[in-house]
Amino acid sequence: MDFATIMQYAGWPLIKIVILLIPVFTVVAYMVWFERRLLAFFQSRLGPNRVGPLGLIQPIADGLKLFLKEDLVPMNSRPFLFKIAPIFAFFPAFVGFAIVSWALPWVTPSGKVHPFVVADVDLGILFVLALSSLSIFGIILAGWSSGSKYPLFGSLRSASQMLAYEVPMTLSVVAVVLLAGSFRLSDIVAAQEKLGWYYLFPGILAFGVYLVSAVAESNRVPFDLPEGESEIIGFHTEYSGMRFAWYFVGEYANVTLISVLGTTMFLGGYDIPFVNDAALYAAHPELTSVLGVCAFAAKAALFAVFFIWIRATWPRYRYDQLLKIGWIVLLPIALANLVLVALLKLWLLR
Amino acid sequence: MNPDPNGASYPSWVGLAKVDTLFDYCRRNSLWPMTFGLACCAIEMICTSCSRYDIARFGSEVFRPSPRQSDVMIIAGTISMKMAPIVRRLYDQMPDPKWVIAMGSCAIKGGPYDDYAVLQGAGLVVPVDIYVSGCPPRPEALLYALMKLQDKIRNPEVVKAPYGKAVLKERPTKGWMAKGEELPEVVAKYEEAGNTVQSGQILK
Repeated sequence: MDFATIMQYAGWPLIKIVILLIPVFTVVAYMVWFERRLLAFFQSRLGPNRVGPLGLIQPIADGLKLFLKEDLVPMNSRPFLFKIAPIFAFFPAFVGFAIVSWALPWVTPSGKVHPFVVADVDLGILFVLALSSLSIFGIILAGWSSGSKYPLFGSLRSASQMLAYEVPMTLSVVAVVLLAGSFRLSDIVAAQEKLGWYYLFPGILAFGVYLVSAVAESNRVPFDLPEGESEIIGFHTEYSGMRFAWYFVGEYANVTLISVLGTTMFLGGYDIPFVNDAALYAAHPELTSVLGVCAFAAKAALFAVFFIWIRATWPRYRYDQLLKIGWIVLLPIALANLVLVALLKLWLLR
Repeated sequence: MNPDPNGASYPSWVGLAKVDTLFDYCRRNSLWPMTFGLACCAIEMICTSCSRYDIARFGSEVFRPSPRQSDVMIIAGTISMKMAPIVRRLYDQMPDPKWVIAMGSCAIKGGPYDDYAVLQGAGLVVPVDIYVSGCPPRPEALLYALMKLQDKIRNPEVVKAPYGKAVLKERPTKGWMAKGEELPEVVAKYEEAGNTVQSGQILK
């Protein structure tokens, strides 16, 4: 193997991963800050504002503090499973970012194409769905291995919730795939650009189903039963310090990933609104890429604000209501929408 | 070149600090209390985290329901004899480093309940860092206790010095002095620095 081959298959992907992970980590850390500030504003409070300007050092302080806390492994637990469980919650959420296409590919003067994506998998969206089902292992393992009853209840709830919401979420994604004709995220964006409409409009039902089940998938209010702070404390009851922080970070990474994916599928991803991207790209390719990333970030931020908004306003669902919404409301809507979208595709959007 | 106590020399743009300074900064600015209320003081604790007083400004609004994830235990209310072992157990379940604030007369010394059923002070079961007086203490008092705890984490020596002095050494007061700070030597320090002190107000 020569140097060029090694660089192609190991070097450049690693460099790309590092370049991607730094902003993703920063965004995830500051999602926590953003959520705390925004929640405070919703409740006419101020939120963390003492640590650094505008409280911007707060996530660093929290992270370092959690890192320095004592690492407790309960006596009744299964130490090995207890220790590896947080990794399962943390890592799938971050791997999902690998397939996200961030901007139009950048073509160098010599004609080389640099796509703004770590791995342009042609089954990208299926890959993410598979990973999001994997992250449930983190929660179930935490529950089983903690040797304590409250984590067990939390993980059992989480398992059935995951089953109930994975199906409608997948079906809503299938509607998008049907419209775009591809599983690849960059193709989905390109198809929306070509159509001139974001899939938010032809796929409004799918969008609704996706939003609800995305909130449920990331275990957030109003579907935060696995955590249920006021009743069962949650699957991470026994976790302290850094291991708890993995779950914490994993949750926010999930929210970020779901926002990013929702943006790609329903809000046109890096497509700059009200601008003909192809024309702009022909004139200023670099500018288009930069503006595309900015547009992407702005759209994803809308999603994030929406999730926080829900958290600030909605009370938690009861357990039976949660399952009813999943199986009796969302699943039929998603199925009917699939037929609708298929007909739409057949007659109007060919 | 700055002289170093150990004889080493380093350029003037290099600043030296203990890594503990950074750690303490993080610890004192992210004190997560435990969701744990024993009696009526808990209502004031809840009030402290609501919009008028907003404990979130200090980064402490993350009330954790599990002792494994909390840093500071606010004992808010009467500790009955039946509750005392549970308080101790919760304290033991918290990971180090951990702190305790005893809030209100009952947690300080049993309060009005001098009888067989009430523990005469949280200090009998857990090591208390800060006592907050009042029955119940106002939310401002709890916030002040939190700030005092932050001072203590920053510099544990403050608890040894007479009231006002050590705090002043760390963080000079601007504007008005607190009541206890009007000690002659403190006033003299301000006058040395070129300020005049008039009935508690520090003038230029």
